[in-house]
Amino acid sequence: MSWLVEPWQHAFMQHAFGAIILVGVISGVAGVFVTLRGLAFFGDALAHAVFPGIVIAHLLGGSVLIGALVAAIVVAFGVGAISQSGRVSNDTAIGILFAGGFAFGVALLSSERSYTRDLTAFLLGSILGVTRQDLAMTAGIGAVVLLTILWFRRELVVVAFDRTLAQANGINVWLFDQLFLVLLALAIVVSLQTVGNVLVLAMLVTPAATARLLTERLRTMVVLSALIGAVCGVAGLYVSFYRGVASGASVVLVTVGVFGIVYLFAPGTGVITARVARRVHYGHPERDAFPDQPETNAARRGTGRPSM
Amino acid sequence: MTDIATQDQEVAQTDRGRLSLLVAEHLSVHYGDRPALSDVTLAIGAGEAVSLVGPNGAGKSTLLKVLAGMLPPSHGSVAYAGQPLRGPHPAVTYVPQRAGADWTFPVSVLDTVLMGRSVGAPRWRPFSRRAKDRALDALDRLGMRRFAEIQIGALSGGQQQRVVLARALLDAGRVLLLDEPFTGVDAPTQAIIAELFRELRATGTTIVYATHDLAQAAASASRVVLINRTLVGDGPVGAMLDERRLREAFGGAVVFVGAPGSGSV
Repeated sequence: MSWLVEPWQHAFMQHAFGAIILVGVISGVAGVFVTLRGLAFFGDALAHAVFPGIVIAHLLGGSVLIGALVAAIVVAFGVGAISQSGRVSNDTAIGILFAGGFAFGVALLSSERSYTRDLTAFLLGSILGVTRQDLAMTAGIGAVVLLTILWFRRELVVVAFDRTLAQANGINVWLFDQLFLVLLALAIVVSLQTVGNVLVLAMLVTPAATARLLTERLRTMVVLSALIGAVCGVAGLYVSFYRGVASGASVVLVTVGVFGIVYLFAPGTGVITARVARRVHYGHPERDAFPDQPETNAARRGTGRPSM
Repeated sequence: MTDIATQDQEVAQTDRGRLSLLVAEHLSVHYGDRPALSDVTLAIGAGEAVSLVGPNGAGKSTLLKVLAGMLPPSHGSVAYAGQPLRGPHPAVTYVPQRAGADWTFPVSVLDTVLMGRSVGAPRWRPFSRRAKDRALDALDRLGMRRFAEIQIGALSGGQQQRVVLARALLDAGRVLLLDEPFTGVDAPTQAIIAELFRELRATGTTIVYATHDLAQAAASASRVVLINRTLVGDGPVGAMLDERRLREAFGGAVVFVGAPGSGSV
């Protein structure tokens, strides 16, 4: 079992493990709301659009986190403002600002001599360079995000479930939309260093989607999503450590792999397990054909399984 | 009219006997430069059951939202019990259309009913036992108690509507404004809703509901308000749901199937 302990003997790996666990939990929880509201594309856009903010902060020698946060908020409000006109749809507005912001970031960075190295670090993350201060910052922001979601959970859930109901209950839907955008921006920003700009979305969407396949209860879904995010993150780092794969990529691949396994084999709902369960329950469609019910038999042969 | 007056002494006094609980005056609503409603004046008395009838896009939902204080009118005003309405009022409960909710959401029927109580609920703790018992009682009134723990995705359209109504009962004020409660629900559910309306009226609750089903408009209401971007008729069921009048109000958009009073607009 020494292979389990080995990576923990390096300080940079301890920091990396700490960072990925925090990111897994924060993204896992925030991601539940992203998937429930169907905001995956928006989350992706936000992740890419913060890029110019990071670059500007980097060039000015300021805080990358603050640069990213400012950019995220500008883009979030920009999308709202453009789609408010009624002629440009929400996803079109997202597309415009997402690509535009990203190109702006690349343009700014490309004038620098260390262009290629910096670009790679920003886009793919540099988890092995996480310092103790980075870790403290991530933990602090994470605590703010998680406590805010916990405090406003009922409002956030009602707004996601039925906006008209939320309005009828006197909830300021616009305000909670903006609050959620800021929380989402924070979750993205803390994930940037670990998994990088391009792959942040995977940490937001995949653990939550996996959790959704496993439960019908929101509370369980939130806990499972956080757990899956953290565990897959740690497993991904082991793969990265021993196989020499880029850390962000290996974390995301493990997460997606777990989703695939659950999608196929989840008890009751998995594509394969459900098929097997049906077959056990109803018997084999050809062998167990009822001689006195030709229509049912034809239907069974046609679909390969009962039409129920 | 006298029985309604005794049911609502308090309001009758504040309104000096005019019996109007919810009053809309010269309401107009524009979405951008698109008019949704223009110049609607309406007074709804305590204990009345009013059906708002009109084709799709006639502004029924808009009118209900304005009456609930959820949507500020572009022109005109709404008053509840003599006081101008600015924002949602605890005594006026708006019950949204079933179709507006995400029925694939990972929550149980009981969770969905408790969403009606999400404002002012404990921040750190779960809902109290008492709140849950009240939610279960509300479900019981609609014959849905045994479904309390199942996931909402497994419900039929009629069952979804009953969950929506159970949630409305939980924080029902003196006025219930319901958007399309009869749309897309099965016959047993329609009967349950109609019975619920009768019970609520017997306890003095005022009911206003939007529908494009003339049979439901006739069966559960004492008064019909015809709407097509503006007020096109207002009066007792018999006088309003007359074929000639409906054709006049809605043009060719009325389809009568079988006996008059069973068509839809």
